[in-house]
Amino acid sequence: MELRFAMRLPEAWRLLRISWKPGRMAGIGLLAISVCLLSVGYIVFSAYLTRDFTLPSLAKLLCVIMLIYQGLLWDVILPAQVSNSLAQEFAVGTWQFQQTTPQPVRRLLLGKLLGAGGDVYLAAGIGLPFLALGVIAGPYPLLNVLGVCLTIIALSALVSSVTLYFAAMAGGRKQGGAVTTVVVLVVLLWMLVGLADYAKTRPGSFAALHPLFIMLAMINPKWASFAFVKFFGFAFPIVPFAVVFYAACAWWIFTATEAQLRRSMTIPMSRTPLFAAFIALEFCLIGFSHAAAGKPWYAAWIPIYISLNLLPLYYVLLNHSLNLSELRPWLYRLRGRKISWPELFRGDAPGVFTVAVLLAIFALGAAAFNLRLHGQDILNWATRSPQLYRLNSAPLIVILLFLPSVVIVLRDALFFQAGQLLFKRGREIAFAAYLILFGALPGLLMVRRFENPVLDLSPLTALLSSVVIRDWKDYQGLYINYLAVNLALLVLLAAINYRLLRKAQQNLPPELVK
Amino acid sequence: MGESVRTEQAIRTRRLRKEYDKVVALSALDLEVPAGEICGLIGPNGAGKSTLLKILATVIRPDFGNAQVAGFDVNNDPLPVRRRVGFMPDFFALYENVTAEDFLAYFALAYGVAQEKIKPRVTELLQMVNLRDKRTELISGLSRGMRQRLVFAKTLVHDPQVLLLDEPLSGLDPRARMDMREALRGLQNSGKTIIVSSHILAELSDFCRYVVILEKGVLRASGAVDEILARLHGALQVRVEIIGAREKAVEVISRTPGVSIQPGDGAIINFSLAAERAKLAEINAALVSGGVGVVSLEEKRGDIEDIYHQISGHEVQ
Repeated sequence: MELRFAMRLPEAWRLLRISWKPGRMAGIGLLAISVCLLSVGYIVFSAYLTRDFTLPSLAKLLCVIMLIYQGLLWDVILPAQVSNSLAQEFAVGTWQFQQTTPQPVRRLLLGKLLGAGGDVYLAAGIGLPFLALGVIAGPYPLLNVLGVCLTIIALSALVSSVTLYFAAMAGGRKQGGAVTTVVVLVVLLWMLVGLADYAKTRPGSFAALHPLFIMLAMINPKWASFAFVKFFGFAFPIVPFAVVFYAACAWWIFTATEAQLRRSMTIPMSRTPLFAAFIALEFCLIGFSHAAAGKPWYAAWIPIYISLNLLPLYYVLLNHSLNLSELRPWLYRLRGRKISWPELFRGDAPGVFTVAVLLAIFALGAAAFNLRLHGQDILNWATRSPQLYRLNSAPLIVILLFLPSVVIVLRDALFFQAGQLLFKRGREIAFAAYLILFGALPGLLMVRRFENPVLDLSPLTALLSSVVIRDWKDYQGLYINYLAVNLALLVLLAAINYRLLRKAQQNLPPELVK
Repeated sequence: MGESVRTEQAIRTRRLRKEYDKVVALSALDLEVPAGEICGLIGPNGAGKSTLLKILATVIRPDFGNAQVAGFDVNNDPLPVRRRVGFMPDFFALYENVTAEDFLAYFALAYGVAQEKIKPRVTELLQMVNLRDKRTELISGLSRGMRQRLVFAKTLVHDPQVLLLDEPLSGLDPRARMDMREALRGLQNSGKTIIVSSHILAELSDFCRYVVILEKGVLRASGAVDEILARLHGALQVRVEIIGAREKAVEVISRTPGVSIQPGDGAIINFSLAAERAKLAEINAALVSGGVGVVSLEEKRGDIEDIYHQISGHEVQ
């Protein structure tokens, strides 16, 4: 039995062999029982303070504390252990042994996910009788508590996948210290609370943040309104929604980790652009929900166009910019050395090339699609609503929207390309710089202004724009400025890339440049 | 397990290149190692030996060129390569909190060794590396030499066709070195191809019939030791120990066509002979009939150390 399990997941077998040793189990068990008993002590003490010794009140508090206990175990300690088991391999150097085995990366990662939590399973198991006591004697329905438990476990899968991904990305590099971790956690918490609040008015996947409040709903009735999640106009019960959504996200990030590790294990992997598919679906759904809400057709089509034409390219950008492999084959090729095309594309083509090719394909597709769909309108070029400034003219809006989008994608491609050439060992730096600049660079920020989503101002555009936005008319001037600023940035980044590329070429070994 | 090597060449590289930042670790390396050989991989520090072994073990990817191990391309078919290769790195870390037995069992599982074979295989390997009495001890309690032997056992756990051993003898005591050499000979007799990198050339000479010399990432020589020696010297190297007058002996030996006497004095005469080996018997007879007492007359078999000195001019350990 044990061997059969081990044959399927050797890594889980190894990790559980380490954690499930009698002495260690006794220590963890003792600690877990102590924590549970201390919780009971706290409950009695708080009852003494409030003079409320009724069984339902005591059991209610016990139930909440035990759920928090389970939440900490599954959503904080387990992800930390999972991440640590991978980070340790890099840090200590055992990873090179893993690299030489033929076991599939997916199985190795699954083994870490399931095997690194040996201590957690034991501690969680010890807490279960206390939780059961709280449920039996308390006021909460069993189904609600089971729902919370399921959400905790689904969230654990998601958080564990995320931490595993970060460990895979960091490789053997030193992680941040305790202070950095605390700062990051505080910022993350702040962002989550803010986003969850924002999600109330947002039709997209932000709504999935609502389930984060499910535990709070148990404690504070104020959060009870979150029992249902509104997702693209549909109301879903929060628990099934959370479980499915978290599990799907966990799987998505898990595949990203797999791809990252396969690269580090020198196993070629072509990865389906799940990220792009996800975002594209998101924007399409937003578009459809606009359409369903009876908004003007362009309000529905803008996000759909954006998703279909541009977001796959963003995927390619991020994929390439974060890739740790080298660009040497391309540099040799640029110097005239004969390198086969399969060899060039097997590893890392410079992101900007791939983006340009994909952009051209999408542009052709979009042009063909628009011609077929709006040919009539192109011929009859008509303005139906002067106050909307011709934006409701179907072909024009597509072209107008597509043009800055092309500029933006190329601009960002060049930005990442520069990062790829500059930061050979830390592309994440370029990515972080991009995220910081994202608010400053004129970009695609879809927000609700007036009644319809439009291209909004970013700080840099606003700074450079002489246009004061008072009503829809002013967007004409803004559009021109917006395009001009992005074109200027595009040219600047192209020049920087050219310089970097020339420098990189000059550093090539002369014997290979023949 | 134990699948046969697909080609006669166990290792084949073409224009293999690897750079680390601006350092060229391997430069356009063309190499072939026949199946079933023990091949010594030698060169000074920074020659590219470890890089070559890591590429062959699919731990790192080459920048250019390709390499085949047991007929499989390391770039395109890394997993089949891993099933056929056992790699022992020069520096390694181990899972400190597992037992020696579990360590081997884990890698047997990871390599997909059949369930029923794992236990006997682990026992056999622990026996082979003299760690059977340490099987239930945590790795953290093992000495450096024991760890080295344990990793050697791990390298063999899936019965690979090709062994890539980076400095396997370092850190071992004399007895363990002898055992390791014996083990390597035994593995070669069972048909495995073994690439051993080492600085200790005298030890490689004991069991390597094939040699690859690298220097600054460039292949300086490769081939069977005898062939390289013949190429280098172009003649038999002969050593004669005599009793009596050296001048007389030199005069007798010089009569044979193709003989070139090397400078020296005393009772030992070294000369090269550009003729077939049968001439040695004639020289011996001539010396005896000429009244020179011959203590010994032998062909000097050059070794890896000779080759390395002649080719690279470097001093090594």
